[in-house]
Amino acid sequence: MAKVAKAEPNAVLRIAHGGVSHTFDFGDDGTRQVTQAEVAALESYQRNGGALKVEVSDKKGAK
Amino acid sequence: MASAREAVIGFGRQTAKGTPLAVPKFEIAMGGGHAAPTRNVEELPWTNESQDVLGHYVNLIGGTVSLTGLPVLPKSCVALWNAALGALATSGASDPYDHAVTPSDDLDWHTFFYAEPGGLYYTVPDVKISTLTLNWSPGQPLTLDLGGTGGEAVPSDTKWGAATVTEAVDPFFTYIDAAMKIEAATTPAATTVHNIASGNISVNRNVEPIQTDGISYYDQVEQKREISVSLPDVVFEDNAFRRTVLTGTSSGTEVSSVPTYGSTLFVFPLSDGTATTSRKLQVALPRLLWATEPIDADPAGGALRYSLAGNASKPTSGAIATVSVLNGDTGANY
Repeated sequence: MAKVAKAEPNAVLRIAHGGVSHTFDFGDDGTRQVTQAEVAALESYQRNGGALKVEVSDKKGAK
Repeated sequence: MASAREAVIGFGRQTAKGTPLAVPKFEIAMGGGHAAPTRNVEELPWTNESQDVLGHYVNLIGGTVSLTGLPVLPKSCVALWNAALGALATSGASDPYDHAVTPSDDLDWHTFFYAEPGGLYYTVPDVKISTLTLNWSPGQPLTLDLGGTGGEAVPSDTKWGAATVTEAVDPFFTYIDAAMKIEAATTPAATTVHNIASGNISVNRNVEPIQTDGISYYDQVEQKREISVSLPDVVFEDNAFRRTVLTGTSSGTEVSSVPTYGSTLFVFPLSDGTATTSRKLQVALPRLLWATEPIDADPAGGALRYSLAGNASKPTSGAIATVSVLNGDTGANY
């Protein structure tokens, strides 16, 4: 199922994970659809006490 | 003749291994050191009815980043901290922007560029920064030392193209008017002290380069994350801090059988006097195990000083270290 990450509007998050640099630009509405690899990067970020609060949830209506 | 002053450093984050940058994202002045090719040469390990060495072979070509005394500048320092820690969150709708650097299990790949005195220009691709040290001393600019390993470096007799940001060396982050908060047994650090002379904070990611079937490194693996603070020159005012480190309280009478964790929060301002509400470098270590050495007698006398060393460990919540930089950069180059 597709996932959506939500954070502070206009926040930009960069995480080195899995050998690549992931960049999350949350834009004006503070949300961004994320892939499985990006979800793993966000989970790692939160495990390490990342400063930006990010919530990952299932995308409404997605299958 | 050429001068050893004629050097400059550039760097930038790659999106992945094997995709080096053509031009740096940042170019800044430098103190000492280099980013340059390395070539390991071994003796042929055989004999052939001769006591002579039979020859040599090249077993590794790579690149080394060994930089000392880098200026700590408002924009580029964010990228350098991120190189050693691995995660960067930028927030703020307008100036000042807040760049919060925290650890990631992986580190970004970087390209480093070095103009060597004498006229050779090196590009070192696929670098991971293994060590970073922030240094301060009385009345002086802050400096950074960096160490890391890279892939096969490329020499050239022409300089790289213009960096995205060529950052001026002034203003710089300084130790003058820094707010140094430390605690012996509590967190977060709230007590501002003025008796710390020199010191440093070190990040060691213990990155291990791995060679497989190529002549350069195949990969680099991050291992234990070690973050520590060293305060070798603390002016003595009273015994409360040291006694707390030893006993757990400022009036304890028994050496504690369990570790006592304290914390630090250091805020460094810009040299141009800009208020720290709009420009600052802040380093927070919320869980530190302090150690202090006995103070040796000295018949020569002199002002009494002592040392403190703290090793960071993972707190119950939050990051082992958070580096926050306020600057006027949206962060597009990080």
